[in-house]
Amino acid sequence: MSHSPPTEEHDAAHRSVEFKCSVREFENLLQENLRVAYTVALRLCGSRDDAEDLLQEAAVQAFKNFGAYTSGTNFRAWFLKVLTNIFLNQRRRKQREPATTPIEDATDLYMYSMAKRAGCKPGGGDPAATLLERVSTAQIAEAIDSLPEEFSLAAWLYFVDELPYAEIAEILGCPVGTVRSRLHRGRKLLQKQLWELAEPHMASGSKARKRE
Amino acid sequence: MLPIINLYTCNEALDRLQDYLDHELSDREALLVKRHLKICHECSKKFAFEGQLVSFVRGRVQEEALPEGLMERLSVRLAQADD
Ligand SMILES: [Zn+2]
Repeated sequence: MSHSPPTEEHDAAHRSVEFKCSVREFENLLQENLRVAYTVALRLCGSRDDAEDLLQEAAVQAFKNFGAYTSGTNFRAWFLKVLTNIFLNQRRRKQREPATTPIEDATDLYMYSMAKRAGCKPGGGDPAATLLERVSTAQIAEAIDSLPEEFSLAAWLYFVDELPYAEIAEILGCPVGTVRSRLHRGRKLLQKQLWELAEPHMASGSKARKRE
Repeated sequence: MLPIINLYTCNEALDRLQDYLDHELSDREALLVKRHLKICHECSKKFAFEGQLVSFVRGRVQEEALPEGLMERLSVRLAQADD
């Protein structure tokens, strides 16, 4: 019995079949998580073109490292980690400093208390939506972007999908407790910003509703 | 034997607001929060407001449509990654 020694052609053909299989597996996983990956990219970058570039680069880099991904584990977290790291490296290379505007701390339940104090009854219906309906999505995105980087990153991952804290921690490479406290503080800081955006619309909003 | 009464005060419930809304509490703690919300109108208004706020922002942030042909363009890039 003699085995013909593997030729270079054989090797190449074998590699090419393997490559096609892993591309297919990778693409299936990417497709399943495409919406969340794109939305994270869009929210981090701010523009659709930049988001697609980031996603392309993340896809290529993740695919090149696909050997490091253990089949059956959380692909979404693994991929978002690659994407987030590329984004942070690019930003640092461009030396575009993340928002550093110092934001004063806010109290718990900031919007709720302010709305109540301003005479609107945050009780029935969907008062949060009513308060914010006149605030544009771009303004909301800007408010999240303006949080200090560690808060805004965690906040984007939190708002773009309902990722559990453990997964956000995996993506950001920090302990779960850190995610919890960043989200907690980020939420308060964000409420302060959102209230500032919502407040000017409040008077006109309630008048408009009365006319309806 | 005295029955074990497990009730949270308002502060104990409010301390767990975020974890409760994000489903990050243990079953036992979540149950205690739920019990408190049943009997405390003030807290249940606050919890509802905070929950709605998160849902509202999520809804806004997620409303963007995927660009047409995105997956196809990614596939083309990946096919080139062989080199
Ligand atoms: Zn209470």
